[in-house]
Amino acid sequence: MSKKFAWAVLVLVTVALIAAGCGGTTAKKDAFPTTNINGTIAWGAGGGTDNVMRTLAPIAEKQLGKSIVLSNKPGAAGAIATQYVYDQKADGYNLLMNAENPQLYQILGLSKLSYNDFEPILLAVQGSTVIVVPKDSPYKTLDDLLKAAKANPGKLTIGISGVGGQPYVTAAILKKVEGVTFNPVTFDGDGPLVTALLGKQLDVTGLAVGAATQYIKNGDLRALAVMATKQNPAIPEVPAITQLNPAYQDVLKASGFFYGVWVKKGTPEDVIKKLTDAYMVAYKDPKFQEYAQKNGLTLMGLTDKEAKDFAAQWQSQMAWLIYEAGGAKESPEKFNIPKPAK
Amino acid sequence: MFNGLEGFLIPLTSLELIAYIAAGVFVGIYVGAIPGLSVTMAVSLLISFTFSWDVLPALCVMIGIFSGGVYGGARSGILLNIPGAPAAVASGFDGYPLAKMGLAGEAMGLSTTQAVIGEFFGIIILCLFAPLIAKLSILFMPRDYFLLAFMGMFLVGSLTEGGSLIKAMITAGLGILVGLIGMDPETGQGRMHFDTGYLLGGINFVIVMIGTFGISEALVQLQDKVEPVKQQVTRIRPTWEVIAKNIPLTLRSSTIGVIIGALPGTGGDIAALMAYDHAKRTVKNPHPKPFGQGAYQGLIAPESACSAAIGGAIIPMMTLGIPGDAVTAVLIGALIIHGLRPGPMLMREQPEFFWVLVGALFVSNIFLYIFGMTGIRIFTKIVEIPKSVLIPIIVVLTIIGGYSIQNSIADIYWMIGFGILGYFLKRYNYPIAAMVLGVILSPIIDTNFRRGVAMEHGSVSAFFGNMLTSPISLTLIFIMVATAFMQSSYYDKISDKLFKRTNK
Repeated sequence: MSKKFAWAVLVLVTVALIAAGCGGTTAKKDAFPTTNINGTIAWGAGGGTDNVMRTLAPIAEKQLGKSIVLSNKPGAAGAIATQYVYDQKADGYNLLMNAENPQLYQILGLSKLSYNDFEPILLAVQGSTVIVVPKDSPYKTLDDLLKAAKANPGKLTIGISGVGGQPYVTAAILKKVEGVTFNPVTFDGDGPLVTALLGKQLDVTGLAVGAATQYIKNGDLRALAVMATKQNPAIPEVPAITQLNPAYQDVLKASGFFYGVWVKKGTPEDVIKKLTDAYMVAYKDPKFQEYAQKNGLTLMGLTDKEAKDFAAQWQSQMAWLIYEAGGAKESPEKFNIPKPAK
Repeated sequence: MFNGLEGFLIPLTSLELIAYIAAGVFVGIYVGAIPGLSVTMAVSLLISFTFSWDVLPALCVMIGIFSGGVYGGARSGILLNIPGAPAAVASGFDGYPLAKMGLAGEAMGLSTTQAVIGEFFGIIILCLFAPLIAKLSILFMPRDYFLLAFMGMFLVGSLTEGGSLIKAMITAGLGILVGLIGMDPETGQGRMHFDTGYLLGGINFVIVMIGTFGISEALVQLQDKVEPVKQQVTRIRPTWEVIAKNIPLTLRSSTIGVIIGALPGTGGDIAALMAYDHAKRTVKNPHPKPFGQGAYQGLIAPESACSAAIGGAIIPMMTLGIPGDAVTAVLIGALIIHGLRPGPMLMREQPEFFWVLVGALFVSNIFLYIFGMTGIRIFTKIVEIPKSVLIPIIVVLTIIGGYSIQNSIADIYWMIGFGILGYFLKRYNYPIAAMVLGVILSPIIDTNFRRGVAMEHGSVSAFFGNMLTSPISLTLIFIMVATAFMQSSYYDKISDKLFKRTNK
């Protein structure tokens, strides 16, 4: 008897749970937001995207009057979270919090989606990569490194964080401009790359400025150049690569990585505006501005058309760069990604 | 290293901070005990929650949860045979049989004492040898991680519940396959994902764990008419004799815990499994019953190892700014939001912060003992609850826990699927722990093999050849060969002759 009872409760509870999972937010159109908003972070807890989003959300939700419930849905370079938000209703109750990656999903064969399927709420910050070598490396300057790489094509080991990641892009840019090739070895992101570099297992790698700053200042790593058109205030002593060679100017027009908030395409305009306004307040908050500066992130604060233009220009630059470096599965042409204008 | 030592007293002298730590430990134990609800998750939820707080109270709550959660996982492993966290998988091997003998109270008492001893050991190592161990940990090359995980695979031999090594190897092989699903670590190419985006990210190993342990255990218990065992709760504090006799094992296991915890690529889960394996191979006279049937030693080893791994994981976090495991990765993120980036600069500019953290760990460990010991009587009541009430609760908690890992409904389906698979594996005496082992270890073996070969410019022979010239690799190979050799019959013969042992 009690066994049957247990089965019955088990079945009931399972059904109830599945039903609860299927129920979506039914929201009225007039007074957005009427219920809490879900924020899906496409990367794991403790990462760059996660930190930026968890700093912005508490301020933005005060403006909206409802909570922004954050959850991490990592995996497949953020493609799983992107697909998830795309599968929800376009009503503004599901925010996608992701980095630059969706602009490369198509050519890397990770997903059919890109930011063309979403509307930007806020492009918050942009980060750049700094080229670093171990502290007692024979390469004192970028020139030393490039000379050694030219003398031994494909011999120097560069740590990357996967095809399409920032260190990979850095290698691709060096290849395009200088014609040098490296031996790429994949690690799981900035932390493991730092570990391998401190252990002198790699010749060179690219790190996010925020992640690299303390090692550069402490003398554990030597910085050769920042992959940007300007020096980074967090490490002003490191030259921008365009200062060393103006030939990099073109390819770095829209580059680096960026973090932002998006909603599905088709979300009503007034909802987008409300979300944008709330997030702009959070963006301008001194606490966020301080956070960004401390972590070597460049403030962007782009919304609407500006954000779309930047994302499109970035995609055109980077998709073709990676395709030409041999890292793409599909040609950018297939997805109507225009070649970057010279 | 001892600059800023005064920071140690900050958490000890502030009633407010002590209260935050105590609250953290308390919550941590219960979060840890629920399968699927993990410390990592609790700490990342706290990031938003403590956003507007000062950094010290926030840190204290998180450290408390860290300590409590790592320990709490063993509770459900012992009582229900469902580990609350990956680090507690090994704690159930002997903890659950002990509970079945009516010794749940004593088992939990022992696990508490050992966790506290292990964590203290970890803290002491953290204080004395942090820079040294940090230096060692960055010297571990991909090939060494490969060897380490390969060594972990030896554990399959310890998991043969019914005595059949073949069955253990079959389930381990299954686990290895599941662990390889998803993106190729080098090229990003999808593997065994059947062109669905949902499998591209792989199957989370915690999902596999709570499915094969949690759901399947519920199914097994539904089928078997096992009456709840009346638990003796007259004695929960383990006798001094049991603790004293096993101090060498505790120290060896804690050392394994600290080192595995300090390596950036491995954490408490692997430490606990390796310590269990170590205990099973070295302890000749387990008490009161053989391993797998209720041996104190089978509980002592994993418990002290996974708690010692806490101190270990904090070593690279504080000295190098590199996370030692998943929890410290989130902890670093939390501190960054509060304006502190752990690492060499912080150690130089604010050395007292390191000692504040050590102090918080110290206080949390005291509360671990207090809450751990006082909660046992209530916890033992859980096993006395009628099955018709208990099992639905377990299933609900398991499903909630499974969902909350990646907020994915697909994960629940996987969990139920693995639960049904686990049920049949259990029915036919295939050890399910071997499967979880495969899922945990295969990505480490795979990634580090690929990475190591790439570092040798694609030469597999150089990858293996260089193992013979590196001291770390050679040590690992030596341990492996010695372990295998000591199990063989040759060893007994030779040692008998060498040491002229006659009374064997």
